[in-house]
Amino acid sequence: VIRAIGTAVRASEAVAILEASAPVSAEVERELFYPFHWFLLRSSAKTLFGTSALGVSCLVDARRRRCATADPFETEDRVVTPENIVEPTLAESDGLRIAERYASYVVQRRRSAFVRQHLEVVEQDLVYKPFWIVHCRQERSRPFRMLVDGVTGGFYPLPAPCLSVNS
Amino acid sequence: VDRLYLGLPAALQGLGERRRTLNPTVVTFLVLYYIVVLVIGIWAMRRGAGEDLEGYLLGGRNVGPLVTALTLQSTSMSGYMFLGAGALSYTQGYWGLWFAAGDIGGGVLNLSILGRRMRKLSQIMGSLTSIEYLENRYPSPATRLIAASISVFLLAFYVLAQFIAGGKGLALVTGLSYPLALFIALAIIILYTFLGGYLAVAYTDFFQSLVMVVGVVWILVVSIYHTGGLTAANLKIAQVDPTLLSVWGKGLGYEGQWGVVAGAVAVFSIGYFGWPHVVTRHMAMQRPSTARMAGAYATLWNLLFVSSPYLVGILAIVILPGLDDPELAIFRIAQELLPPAVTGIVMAAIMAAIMSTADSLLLQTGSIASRDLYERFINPGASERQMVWVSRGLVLAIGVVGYFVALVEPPAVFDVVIFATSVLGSAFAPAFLCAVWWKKANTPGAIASMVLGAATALIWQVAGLEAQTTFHPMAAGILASTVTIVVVSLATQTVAPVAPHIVKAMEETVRLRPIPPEMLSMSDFALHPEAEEIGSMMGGGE
Repeated sequence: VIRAIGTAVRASEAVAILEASAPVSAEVERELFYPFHWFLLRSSAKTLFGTSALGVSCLVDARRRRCATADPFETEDRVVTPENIVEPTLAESDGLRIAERYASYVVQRRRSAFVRQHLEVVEQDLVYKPFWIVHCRQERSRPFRMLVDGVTGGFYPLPAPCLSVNS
Repeated sequence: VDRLYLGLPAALQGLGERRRTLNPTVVTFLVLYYIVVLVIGIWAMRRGAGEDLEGYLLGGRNVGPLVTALTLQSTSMSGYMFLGAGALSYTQGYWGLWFAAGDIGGGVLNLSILGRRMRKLSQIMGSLTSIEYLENRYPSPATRLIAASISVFLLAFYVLAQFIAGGKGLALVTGLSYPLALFIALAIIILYTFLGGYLAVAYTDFFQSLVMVVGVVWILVVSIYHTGGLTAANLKIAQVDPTLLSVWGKGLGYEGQWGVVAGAVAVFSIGYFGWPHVVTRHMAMQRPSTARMAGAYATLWNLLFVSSPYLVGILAIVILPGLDDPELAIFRIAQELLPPAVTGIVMAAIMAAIMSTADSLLLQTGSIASRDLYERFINPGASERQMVWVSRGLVLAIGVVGYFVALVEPPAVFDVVIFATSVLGSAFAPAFLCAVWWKKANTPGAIASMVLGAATALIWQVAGLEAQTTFHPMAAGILASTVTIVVVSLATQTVAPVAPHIVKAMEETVRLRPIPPEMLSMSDFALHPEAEEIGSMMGGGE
């Protein structure tokens, strides 16, 4: 059982999105869950108008150590098989350090002020983001794979060899 | 202060005369404007946006593409647009439109030539700031040291232009003396930078931006109406000085000087490439159509806004001949032609824009000094408290030096902006461009290019070589830095080859695969890290 970000794009929608973007024939290979350490941080600082606090939602890529701020999202418990999960390789404590440094940089820019921030963790969790791996065929050219974001429907080419649908 | 004030140029002393004719309605509406902005901010913060960073960062997702676009634009409009652009056209006529052309084209060029690829490469290499990006692409501590030093030095100059613009504007609007107005403007900006407090929300930025664009276009329309139309205005300008109608400047001073013209166009087109900027990552949970629409609105806004101050400056030749200080042309026209209430509101919006730009520039300068210089080279284990104080110390130093420079020997806003942009563009444009477009660009080439480009543009301006050579400092600087990066990179390929991981990252930004181009162009690059990781697990990629 994993804590996953709610899937908003179903398999059929992922296929439809790709087929609508170019003359290809798409077929979903599988759903894959990618790990992120999620931190909801509270940044407070003394300002001209008293103490001001901001909530910052950060997702740290639990494989590649990259951090990003994130829109609010809902999670759900999902039962998935191990082959559909990408295992995290980054410890949560390391993830927190990365999130704090990133959040302090982003908040400082947003506040437009050099103020000392006090960062505290309000919530944290290991969450998995759903993706669809889609096999695409087109006329007179090699097949290829696309990664479709199961939350936004955004897509990106997968740099993986494409030998057969079930490879 | 009073003794210094007596020593000021006549143009600035002239501001004192305006004090006597100040309209109380203007001040009333000026104050009302700030109250409205404050109320919008407090209302939005109480609604909850103030407690959520994303309410600020990407508030546009909730408020729509138009608000998003104008929110972004409100912070990019500086004192140059309201003082420098008008003054240039007022003194040089239609020659100023070369700069406007570069400015309008600059954004498009930046997006099409550099923007997307650079954003991709930054994300692949995990760079947070542009200085970090340069160091990652051209690996060497010297890259960061040189790039950060040049940036801090020139951004400080750019801030100086905002101080002067803020001081002059406040003096004219409130009727205070220039030294006092300058002091107040500077104190507010620095205090804000030290303490913050009023978090601008999307709605306040939108409101300010809307007032600015409506105000400037209103000033333009009223000016055209007042002069009896553009044709009538041109006929009157011809009576003042027919050469002002040419694109070669007053007295045809730049006739046939294509090197100067190229530099004028390049200042705000290529020059933009040299500005330090920020690459941060945000993970959206909604579909990204808002961002695309916002881009279209921003371009439209630019087309409408950028040329207006230049045209108002040209019309001011007829409306307000013999101005002591041409930099105040737009402010003075607003005072002369707009209803007092509108004048107060528009001037307040302009002042807010100038101050917010100064604040952003100081923040940028302080961040580079603390993160890219202090933390990187002096104290790698620096605490956040130390970093904050380094930033504040630098801001204070810029403020003190800036105050005295702006008081004792105030340079023209136009000159300062052109100086800073020319040197920044000359130093960084080829290094940024080659970073994504030329695989052979290496560290020695980039370092030599930054140093020689900056030095050439600097010497060209300080020594006044433009008049002797008919070559603009920007054109000379860009030429020097471009030739340098090519020659030095080629000459040092064997001793300093480009690292394989950098070449691979560059190839990734073009990604030639059997994927239909339309699909490729619609792909979401934010998914690159996950795609790369999953691809490598499946037997491809890295």
